[in-house]
Amino acid sequence: MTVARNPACLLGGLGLLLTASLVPFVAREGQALWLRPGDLSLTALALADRHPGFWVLAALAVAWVAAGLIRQERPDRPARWGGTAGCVLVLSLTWAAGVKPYAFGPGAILALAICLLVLAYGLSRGGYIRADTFIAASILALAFFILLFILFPIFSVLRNSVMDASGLRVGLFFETLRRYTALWRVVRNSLGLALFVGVTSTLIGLAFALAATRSRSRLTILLRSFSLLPIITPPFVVGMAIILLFGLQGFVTSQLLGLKTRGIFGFPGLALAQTLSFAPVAFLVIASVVESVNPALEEASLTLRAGPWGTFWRVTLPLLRPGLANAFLLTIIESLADFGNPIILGGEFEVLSTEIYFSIIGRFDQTLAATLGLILLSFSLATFLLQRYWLGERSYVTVTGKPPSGKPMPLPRGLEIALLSFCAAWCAFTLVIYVSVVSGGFVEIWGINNAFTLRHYQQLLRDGMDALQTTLILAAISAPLTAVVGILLAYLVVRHRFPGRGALEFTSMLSFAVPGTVIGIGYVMAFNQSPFLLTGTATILVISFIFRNMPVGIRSGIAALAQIDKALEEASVTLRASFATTIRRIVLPLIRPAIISALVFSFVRSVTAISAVVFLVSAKWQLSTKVILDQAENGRYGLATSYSTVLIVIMALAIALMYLLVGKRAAAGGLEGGGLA
Amino acid sequence: MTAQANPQAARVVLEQISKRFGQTVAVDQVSLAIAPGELVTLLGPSGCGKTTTLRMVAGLETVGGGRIYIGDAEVTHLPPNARDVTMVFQSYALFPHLTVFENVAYGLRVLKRPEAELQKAVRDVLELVGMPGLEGRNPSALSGGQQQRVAVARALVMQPKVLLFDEPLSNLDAKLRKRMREEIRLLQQRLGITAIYVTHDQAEALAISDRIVVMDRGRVSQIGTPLELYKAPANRFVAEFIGEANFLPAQLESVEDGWAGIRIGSQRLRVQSRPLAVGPVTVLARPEAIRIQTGGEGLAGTIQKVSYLGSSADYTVETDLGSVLVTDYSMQGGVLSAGTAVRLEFLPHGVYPLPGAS
Ligand SMILES: Nc1ncnc2c1ncn2[C@@H]1O[C@H](COP(=O)(O)OP(=O)(O)OP(=O)(O)O)[C@@H](O)[C@H]1O
Ligand SMILES: [Mg+2]
Repeated sequence: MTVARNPACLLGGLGLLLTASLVPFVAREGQALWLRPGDLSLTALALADRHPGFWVLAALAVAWVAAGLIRQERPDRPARWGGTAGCVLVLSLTWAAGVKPYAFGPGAILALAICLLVLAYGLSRGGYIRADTFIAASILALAFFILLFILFPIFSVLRNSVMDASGLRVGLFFETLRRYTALWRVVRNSLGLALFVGVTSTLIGLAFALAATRSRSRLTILLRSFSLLPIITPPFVVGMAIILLFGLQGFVTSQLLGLKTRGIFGFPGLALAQTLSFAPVAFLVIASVVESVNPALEEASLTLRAGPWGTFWRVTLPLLRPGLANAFLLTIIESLADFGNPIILGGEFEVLSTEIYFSIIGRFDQTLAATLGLILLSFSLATFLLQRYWLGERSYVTVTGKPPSGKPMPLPRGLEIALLSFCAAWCAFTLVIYVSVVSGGFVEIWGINNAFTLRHYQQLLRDGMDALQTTLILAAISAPLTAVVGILLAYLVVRHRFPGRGALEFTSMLSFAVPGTVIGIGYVMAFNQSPFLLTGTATILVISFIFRNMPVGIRSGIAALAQIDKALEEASVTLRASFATTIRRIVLPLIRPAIISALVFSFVRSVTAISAVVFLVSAKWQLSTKVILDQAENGRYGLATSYSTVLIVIMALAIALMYLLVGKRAAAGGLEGGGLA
Repeated sequence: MTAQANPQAARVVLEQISKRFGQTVAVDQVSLAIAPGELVTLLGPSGCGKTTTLRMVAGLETVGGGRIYIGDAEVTHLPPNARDVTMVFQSYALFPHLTVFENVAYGLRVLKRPEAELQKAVRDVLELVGMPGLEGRNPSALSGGQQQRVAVARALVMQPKVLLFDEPLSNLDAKLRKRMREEIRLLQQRLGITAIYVTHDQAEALAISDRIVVMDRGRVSQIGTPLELYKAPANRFVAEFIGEANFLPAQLESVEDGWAGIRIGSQRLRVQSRPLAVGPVTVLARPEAIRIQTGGEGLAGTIQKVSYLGSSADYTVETDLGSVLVTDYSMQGGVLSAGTAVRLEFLPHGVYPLPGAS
């Protein structure tokens, strides 16, 4: 019978005692991370007079110290029970004590961290998680963050839809909807647009995928780089370009055709803009499926007397069906979530994402925003669940670009020519879009005074640099954090078995299906009051970047880990390395390309994000995309396009840098993760 | 051939350990005590829970129930890096981004051993496994046998309390497999290290083990030395798994202190036996302990099939008691052809009544 003392409880108890007596448990709103002299009156022990719960916390600390000194047979028990109790206690005390004008303070963070660590020790030593304390602590910490930053905001949206100043009423949801007469129109608009764009994007994606993977033409390289565009482009830039081309002063409509029409605003423009933006996403999904089709199947069909056309119709296309369905559903999710294009191009055509925005920004009606948010969320979630469970794991585990043996069948000649010409035309159109964005920045007033000018760039240098700097700095801060969180999550989910693993995996991927607008209002509702006061800070922007982009890291991580024999890590831990050492010395060196691509793509996606951050920016922490959006909304396209051009160039440079660092293959793999998530 | 006393070697005790994956019971109440310096093999058909048992000892799998002790300490819930157990993996699991030297040095670097000591230990162990001079190579530039040696060296250099092998030879060709298993056995005996070895190859198990644990569907079927398992299998499963076996109906006529009088067909013989009840039994008859003759006494039958194997000939003989496999090593009468009428005589040293009625 082994008898051991209990270092975790001892250290945890001492740490908790020190924290309780020296570190402020709550802080003045917005100053959680700064310590000032007067704050010592806010330590847990000082607060214990008003909140007796703190005495319980102190008692727990003392009990741990005692348990740490006594020899015992099962050291995991006090750690586990105490850790659980401690976490609950700290959270509820934060809730109780962190009332206006106070919010959570450094002491609360520290105390929670200590309790989590001791609990992790208990779970690891109790055999609940087959790994050491580091792994158990990572699991607990990530689970906590996901609860706080993904589920809690969604819950807050839910709560706001059934609760107003007069209290909780389930009927409120329906009352709000009855009051909101535009409901059916808006829902019909959103769904109709999403379905339409889903079909067009999937068809165009299919055309590109076939042309790019099965044609012997040189054009294929061009087609592949086409897939980069939506990643380096802020979402509403395409919409803006369409206004420049087809709007009231549009180059095509007004200058070439002499029309004065606003007809492009609404459905036609939106459908065009979203198809341009999301067809490349569909292309990536379908192309990876086309590449994974086993050529032997087509060869078999050819030897069975089917001609190239027959083989294409009866073998190739049916094999692509899951890929097509997948691309279709992904595009629907993207279209539903799109906020940038509808807001500048929607005109009278209202969709859910913009209506949510206007309920908060224009009507100051949180209940309506929450209600519409729930409706939008339920559409996206339904599509996500359909994609996940109907199509199985296909969309989750990235199909790796392993070249299959055998030679894929070339396309029937006629089809090849048709596809190539279509794709070339579409690429040319895309090019026109980007040319118009770039030139928009160099003319006085588009369509009215087309004289060349650098005025917009001068103004940009004068007024736009603050926001650009903020954007780049916050994106640069969040990129490594996103990569760490995403890849660590991928590692835990792929390599470890623990209770709740499925739930952790599911929720972390969920953040990909939740529309940015919903997360945005969720953050506003969850974090604008004590005890979790974060609105108006840079922290909340960074956090929103991390949890919006986390799926990018998870995808790259999962794809990379799938290539590594699990026995390597097992060999390392049996050779006495801790799990942390194993990750550092074995896992990280082997998945370096995935890390770099996760870094770059989360950076890029942070810079181009708009739908969630539009609710979270403040005068102090302003982001480029919001500035561009404001300019475009007010018709100042010169400034908006010049600013967009600058962003696009920066993003292109970042991606080029990645290609340079990790090589083409790995970059393409990361691209897939970045494009889909 | 006696093992040197090794102060590092530890005893290993498994106390009724179990493990299930969802509905599958992978390991069911396995108990086992391994003496210091002993090599015990876990043997059994695919999916019987050998690997799972081994991985629980290594700490790579959570233990569903029961306890595990290494030396004097209970390690049931200790993480793998706190156990002082190393493992040779089926896939070798050599780190592809490290050289041979760094692979072997990995564990010592983790333990922060001084550089000079580390250098010497790595070179010594590479010498020991017969791999000097390839320190700078990448694992991918080694042959299968060389990779195998590096994997063993990497596990040995840690001087673990217990060394685990999970089918370490299954990726090698037959010849090399034979040589490597002898080398592993010699090394293990020379270093006097406690070892658990998983295989599904009975020849391998018989050749290298001090004792063998035969497993069947997650349970221990029998534990014993190779000779015990061969001579006195506890049940039909073990008899079938270790060596070739015929199972024939017979009559148990008398039992007295360790000996039994039995009758197979018309032949009476006295064989060693556990105490069993008098009456009908099933006997195990090893094919090489049956004399095949064209005349004389014994069970009558007709040869159905002949396979000539070089040093021996296998006959399938149809008799009143069913079909009987006979291996003839002497081949004094030359190789008989199919259709020949023969007589089978059972030799007492290869016949064993099985417990558990017919
Ligand atoms: N991670 C796992 N999840 C689910 N079932 C598992 C897992 N690992 C093993 N099993 C199941 O447990 C049983 C025992 O597996 P184990 O790997 O121990 O067999 P084995 O004796 O090593 O077989 P083999 O000789 O084929 O290696 C099998 O039925 C297997 O399917
Ligand atoms: Mg196995």
